[in-house]
Amino acid sequence: MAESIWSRRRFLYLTGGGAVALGLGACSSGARDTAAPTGRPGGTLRILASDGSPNDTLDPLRMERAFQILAAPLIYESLVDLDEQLLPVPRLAESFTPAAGGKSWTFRLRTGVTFHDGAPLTPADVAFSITRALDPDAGSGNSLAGQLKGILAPAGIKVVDDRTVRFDLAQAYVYFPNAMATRFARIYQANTTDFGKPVGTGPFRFVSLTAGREFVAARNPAYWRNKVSLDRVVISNVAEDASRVSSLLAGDADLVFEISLAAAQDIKQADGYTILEQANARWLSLALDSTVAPFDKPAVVQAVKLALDRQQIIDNALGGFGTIGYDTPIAAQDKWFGQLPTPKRDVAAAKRLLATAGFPNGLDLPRVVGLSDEPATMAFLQVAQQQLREAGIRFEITPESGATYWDNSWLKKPDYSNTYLRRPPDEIMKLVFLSSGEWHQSRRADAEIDRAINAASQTTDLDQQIAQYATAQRLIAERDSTIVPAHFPRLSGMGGQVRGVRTNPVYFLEVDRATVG
Amino acid sequence: MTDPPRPDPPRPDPPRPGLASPGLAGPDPASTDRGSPGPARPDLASLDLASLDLADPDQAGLVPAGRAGRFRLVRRIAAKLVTGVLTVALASVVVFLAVEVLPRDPARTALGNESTAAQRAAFRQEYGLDDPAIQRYGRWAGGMARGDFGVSIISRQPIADELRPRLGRTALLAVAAVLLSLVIGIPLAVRAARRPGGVFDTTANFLSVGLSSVPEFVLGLLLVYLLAVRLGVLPVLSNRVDRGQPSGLVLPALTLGLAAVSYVFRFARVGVIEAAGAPFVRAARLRGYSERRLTWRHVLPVASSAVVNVVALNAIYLLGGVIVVENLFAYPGLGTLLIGGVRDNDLPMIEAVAVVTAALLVIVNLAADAAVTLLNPRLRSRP
Repeated sequence: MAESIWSRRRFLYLTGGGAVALGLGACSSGARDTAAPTGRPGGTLRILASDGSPNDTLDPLRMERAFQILAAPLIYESLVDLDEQLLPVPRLAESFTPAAGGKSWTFRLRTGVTFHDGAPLTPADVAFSITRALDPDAGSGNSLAGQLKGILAPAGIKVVDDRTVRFDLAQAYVYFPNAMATRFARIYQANTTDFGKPVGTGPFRFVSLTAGREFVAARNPAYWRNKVSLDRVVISNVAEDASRVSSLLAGDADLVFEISLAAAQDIKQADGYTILEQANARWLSLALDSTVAPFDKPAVVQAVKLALDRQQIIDNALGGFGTIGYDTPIAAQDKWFGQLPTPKRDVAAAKRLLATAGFPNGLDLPRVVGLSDEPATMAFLQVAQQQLREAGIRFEITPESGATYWDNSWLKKPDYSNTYLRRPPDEIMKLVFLSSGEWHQSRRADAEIDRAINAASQTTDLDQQIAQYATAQRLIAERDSTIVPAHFPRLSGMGGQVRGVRTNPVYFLEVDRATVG
Repeated sequence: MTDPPRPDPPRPDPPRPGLASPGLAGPDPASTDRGSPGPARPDLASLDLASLDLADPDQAGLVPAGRAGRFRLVRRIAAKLVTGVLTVALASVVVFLAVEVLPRDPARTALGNESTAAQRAAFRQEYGLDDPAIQRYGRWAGGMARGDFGVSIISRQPIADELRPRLGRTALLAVAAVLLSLVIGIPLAVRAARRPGGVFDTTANFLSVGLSSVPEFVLGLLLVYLLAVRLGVLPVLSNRVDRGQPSGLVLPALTLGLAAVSYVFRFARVGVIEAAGAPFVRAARLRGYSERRLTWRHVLPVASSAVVNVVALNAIYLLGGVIVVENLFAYPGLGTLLIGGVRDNDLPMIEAVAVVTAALLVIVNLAADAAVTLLNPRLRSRP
């Protein structure tokens, strides 16, 4: 069992020798999931994460690292969840209904939901939690508070009755339920100021948190949605990838969250272990600033796109895990995909484009800065370096740690590369591809792209939304200078004794129905 | 992570008869009393061996006696203390400057990417991060001098509260590793020194050199594979070593200890071989002492000063290795605290751990000097 995983390649790897809309009318779900978990009840699920920090907290407005994002949904829940297609589905809300074309949203709460201290969930709790989230100084300055800035003010949150909350928006916003599904929109008791011993409605009760080291939660016997099988969940922080994988193999851990692509290949081939795959969880980005030479010439940008062999990038840089990117953040398997033609490599065409742009002998690009904390990014750059060279496009790579990359290079250098989490189309399109987007990498203003993106968010008709996003994707792929060569999954290693763990696009893992042994 | 530099074998001090060694003495017999020429050296040929206790170096006339000897010792200790304090002060400047040049914004790490520019600015002001470097150094160094390590800008908790238990755990790990290296290394050295160049000696030397060339990271993974994955007798991780799982100490201690065995072995072997060749040992052998008595009562006490020096030098290597090994096993010590501080841009934490580490090294070296002095009769004064 363990023998096969300790192959020579595995050993070399370990030793360094080898080296994350709706279109809708009302949406409701009154059914509770009463199905019992499969597998033996009880036990402790031991999860290993890698990015715990001394400032770990369970304040829902400070959810930035995986360690916290894994821990928080055990304690808290939101009004709404996102399904695998990033469409909102009811959670604490039994239903949510738009009015006035998306300018007003009414959320009706489920009955029988209680907090861990036995107090019932009330609309006042919802109003308090969301009001606090709107305060940019409280934590989510760039995400939820930023997303709803100018759309929802605290005065717009109305408690209608003992089960109903209404959000009156300053303008129509058809994706408002999506905003209520983010990790910053969790619901806790009104007037909560101390999150040291958090109380929520989730499937597990808080036991302890040692910042940077360990989080422990115990079963909530009164959980409203389903019977929780596990007695406890322990999330430990272990920074070293090799040690985390070794712990899984030695039986000291049940689930290793987010393992490297290299380790996943070996675990996949071993008996007694499985890989939990959250497909297309991230996408690779090569950003070319179109206001800086030579990327101010569209032909150069197109030549770079044509010179990339995307399948080879998946095979050689991503260990075979991944899907082809169409130079947009929407993967082909996504409901929102615009059915774009598959990008194919054409070195001859790339050379011709370079010649027409005034570079008949090829050209040297500015040094590409890669986020060195991400092995996938660095591996992609190395493969791309070889592929582009064949078309006469040469560049050197400057690895830079995340400690300085986000401040010094991202959105500042002529060309740079990192990965992004999969997000709902409205959110990611407005961040990266809208001319006024905060992460507008290409700096290329395009009124047509802006119109398509904005049009999608002005209709509650799902088909119209998809059609508008298809237009936006086509224009982006043809004109924008942010290149998306591939999407790849988030992989977790899991022991064969673990059953019932599911992936979630917002909070990564759902373990309320998990069993061990 | 690169491996920490391992210390080269110490070069022996030139023989300075009658004077205290200025630093760590090497195993070369020329730097010790055994066989070193000097004005007080007795002419063995003219001595009455029967009336001479050769195990007592005082009787060999090699000890600077009286008030002058005591004065030299006190002066030497005072000089070492002053040098130690200056070394720590210099280290604090170097550490502060090294952290200073890092192009990082600790406020972003502390408050996260969701923070607003205004929040980060307020944070920097609160913690004085925008003050001139000299002013910040003065404030920080002044606090350190008073034993105030400051507050972590990440956890917002007093650094001393986090440092103290971790220092204890790292000390425990280091002591366990040193003891392990001695328990394994010295008997091997004694055995190998019986027949230098013999099969056992050659084999042990070969294995020693091989072991010393294996990085701790690889050695640790090999031990994990053998003892945790295959045999299942030990936990892979040490993250619960302070929470009812003391067995978590074994693998990191074993990794560090085995990595240090080769140094202890090689230096102790040389020390034993040289001590065994000293005239007074030869004389004791001529008197018919058993090999066991010769080894344990005459040779090892003399060779021990060399071993103490190796242990002191290993401390430097161990403190470097501790960072790698603690991170590998998630051991809650100074090493993981330092790595976390670097990752989180927790500047006060980085500075505190680095200075404490420097102070530890100075203390270990001073302790080693003191131990050598106590073990080496020529370096101490008669009470």
